[in-house]
Amino acid sequence: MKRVETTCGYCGCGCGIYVNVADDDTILGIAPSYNHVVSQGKLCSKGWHGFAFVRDSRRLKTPLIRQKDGNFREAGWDEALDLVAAKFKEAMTEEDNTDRIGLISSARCTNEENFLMAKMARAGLKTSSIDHCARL
Amino acid sequence: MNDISDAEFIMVIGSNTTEQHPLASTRIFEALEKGAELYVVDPRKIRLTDFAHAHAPIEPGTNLPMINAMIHVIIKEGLVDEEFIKNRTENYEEMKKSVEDCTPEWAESISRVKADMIRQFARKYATTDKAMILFTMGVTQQTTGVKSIRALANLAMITGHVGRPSTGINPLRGQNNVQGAGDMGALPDFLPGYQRPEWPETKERFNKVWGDFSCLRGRNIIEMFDLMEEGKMKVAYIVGENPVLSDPDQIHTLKCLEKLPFLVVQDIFLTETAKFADVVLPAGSFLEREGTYTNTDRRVQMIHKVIEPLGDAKPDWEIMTEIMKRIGMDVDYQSPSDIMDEINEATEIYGGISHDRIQEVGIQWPCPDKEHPGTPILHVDEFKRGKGLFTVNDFEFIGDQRSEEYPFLVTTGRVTHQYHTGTMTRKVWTLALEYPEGFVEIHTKDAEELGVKNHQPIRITSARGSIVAPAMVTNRINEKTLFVPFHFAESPANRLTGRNLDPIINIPALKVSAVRIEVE
Ligand code: SF4
Repeated sequence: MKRVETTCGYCGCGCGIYVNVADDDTILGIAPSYNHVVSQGKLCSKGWHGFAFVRDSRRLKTPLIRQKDGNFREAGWDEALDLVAAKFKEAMTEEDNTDRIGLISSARCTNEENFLMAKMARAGLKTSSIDHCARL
Repeated sequence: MNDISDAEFIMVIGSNTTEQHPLASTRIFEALEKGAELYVVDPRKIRLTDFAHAHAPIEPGTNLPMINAMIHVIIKEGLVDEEFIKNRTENYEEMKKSVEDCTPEWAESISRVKADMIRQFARKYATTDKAMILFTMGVTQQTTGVKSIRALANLAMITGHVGRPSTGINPLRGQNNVQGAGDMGALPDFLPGYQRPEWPETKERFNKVWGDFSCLRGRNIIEMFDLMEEGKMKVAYIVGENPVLSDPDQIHTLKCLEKLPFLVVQDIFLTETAKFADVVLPAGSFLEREGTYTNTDRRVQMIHKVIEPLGDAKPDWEIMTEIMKRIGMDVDYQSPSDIMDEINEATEIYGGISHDRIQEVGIQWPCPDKEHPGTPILHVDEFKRGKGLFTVNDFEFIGDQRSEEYPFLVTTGRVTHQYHTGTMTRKVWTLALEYPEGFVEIHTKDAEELGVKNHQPIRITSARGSIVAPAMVTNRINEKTLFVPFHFAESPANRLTGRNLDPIINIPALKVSAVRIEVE
């Protein structure tokens, strides 16, 4: 068994948690971090129980591509990513693409990921249309 | 957040803290134990009101008149902090003039909060040394949201409740990394670190780090959907968001997504939005990746990879890096720590925050260099722009109001576990993922008048659309006011909500829609 310290991913409080994991990656449980500046050994019910979804059977496990008949089929990463890149390139013009390409990032993503979204939009796709859900 | 427990007076406005920010609410309880007074402004008798010394059952959408009336009272009764106003602020006279007519009686006629109660709130706030204000989406999701926040800033400044421990106006952020998403420039009008695209120094800085880039004021989410409807938007890439449920006016959202030629959705589940995608990319959960989150205190903290991603799923940053390579960008991040190094160069506020430094304890930005210890309290000496600027925030009705056709106002929010007994709590967890049926809170008196029984399905209809959900008859809500949780697929509250935007920053008025009720 291992015990990994991390930050709760549910709300903006940012409590410190320990996750207990078995060798086969089964999550055994969560414990609060006693020294943590925010949580000071406390957690709310979401912090205690909110990891159950991580191994939910409905999790997406492979990329999906929509077929002509309207249904999804499973696909490999290369095929899916190449298709995404091709569509982005198709939509790009010599000029600015602010009205043609839009990126919506997430409050559930890390800082690093949000930074990449901003960079991909502005420096890669040449669009300033990048937003996340804070307004909503 | 530790600040909260030392406060002597806490005003919570539009924040269902026990449910949205449980750990922040434990700090409120700590403060109460030490003798603090708690005042709550909310259309519902939220759980905090059980512990509050006063509760103002305000009409949805009318925070601004109440705040302006508090300012009016404080000025009239000479409770202002003249020293602070003189040394640290500008534009006081202008603001003072603008609230001259905002008497508590006037505010009562709009907000239904008794004039005497408004006076009580104002006096208590002004005369307590460590007085702080907490707010969330209840304030911002109104057509007067920005004005309300500016008015709260006025209120804090006239009383000198700024820049000292346990004072100030403190937004509690909703989702875990809303703060960080904004900090990192996932915004149409800012680059990372809140640098305006049109500032020359921004251009210089980012040209060095990113090369050539698009530096316009871009389109926000609402405008992006409008561009889809007009057929101009060609591709959209949505990561970790579910606008079909979270955006206002669902029927419009669906129409737009159907019209969009190519949609990429990246998420951990096949969400309602992902069902419209042309390509769906499976992402890793927060236990399956490395990186940092920034909490509501601006504290940047590590998250660690605990387990391997399920199946072929990948952490978001890896997927993004792959796409960036494939559209021809020269990037090669081996880990999120490499990305943080670039964030150090791109922004001042995260300039000195590296993964190495925050392994044990997070650092609060601004942290401009590697030696800087971080900044626990903003605005200690000077406001960012020098002096604090008083603003004029006149109230006007925009958007939905009660009418003969739509005699109720509905407000939306998050669902809670304490409607159920403790044994339900865990079930709600599983339920929350499956989006079970929602409910409509309705006041006992209104229910009686309409002949509605508890749990009976009722139809509520706004000018935009209509939903059916079981009634929850309760005294914990104002009369002629309904509450609907917004994240249930079968009775989506956002089918009712309109696109009445705050004219200043386009936050939709999700909190207030006028509706009528029909018994099914
Ligand atoms: S444990 Fe509860 S209060 Fe703490 S971060 Fe998680 S959801 Fe928020």
